Amino acid sequence: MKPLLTQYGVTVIAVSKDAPELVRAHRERDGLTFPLLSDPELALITRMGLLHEAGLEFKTFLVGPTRFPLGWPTRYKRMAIPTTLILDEQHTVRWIDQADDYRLRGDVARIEGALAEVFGELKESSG
Amino acid sequence: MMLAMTLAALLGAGLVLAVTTAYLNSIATERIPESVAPFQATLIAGMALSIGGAAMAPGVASLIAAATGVSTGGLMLYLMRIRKLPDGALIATVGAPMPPVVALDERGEGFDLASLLGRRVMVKFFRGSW
Repeated sequence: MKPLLTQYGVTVIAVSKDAPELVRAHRERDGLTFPLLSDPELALITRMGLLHEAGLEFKTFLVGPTRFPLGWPTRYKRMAIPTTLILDEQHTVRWIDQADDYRLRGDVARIEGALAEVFGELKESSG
Repeated sequence: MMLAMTLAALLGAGLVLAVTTAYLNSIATERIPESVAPFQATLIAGMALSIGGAAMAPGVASLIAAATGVSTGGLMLYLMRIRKLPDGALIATVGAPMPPVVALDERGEGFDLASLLGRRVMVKFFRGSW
């Protein structure tokens, strides 16, 4: 996906409720090259209207490749509703994609299609 | 007969626990199935088996199995039912300016999306670690 983003000159930022130190560990673990941002109090996520509180939090433990639940869920987990927005140079919102299932992440193919739809014609007209 | 029914209750509870493990593991490892129907059907079968076994052969083992099967299965069915998100009240709309985005970077310092004005940006909000 990264070459396509580079082709369209799109900078990526990603926001979650994880604390900065967790964010850094996540980026290093996954080898991500774009900035991961932290919203530990969920202030931005709440203000954007993206707060989701229905997911239950499980403690889990890992045995080999399999993760097992440990006991009962302890509390509701607060997290962002997975959402992707594409902004143009003026930071006008050009495309929004929002998951309808908190377990799923954004669909890469859909985002690729959106980039072509939003910036493909712009590229041709400017060239 | 009593032994068979007790074993059925234990099998039912085992089925529920196995499905629970498989389902939670699919989420933790990002191999999430779009449809939860097979999980739901297996959970219900496991719960029915554990209840049926305990009803036909009441005993400590079968009752514990039924309680485990019903409580765990019920919780998992509830979790699967609430997996759909609300429509949300996203304040950004297509064609309108992006609302201010201010957060912390990985060093804990402030980041303002306005610093990227003049550049195309993809902003992703994701759920973060479990």
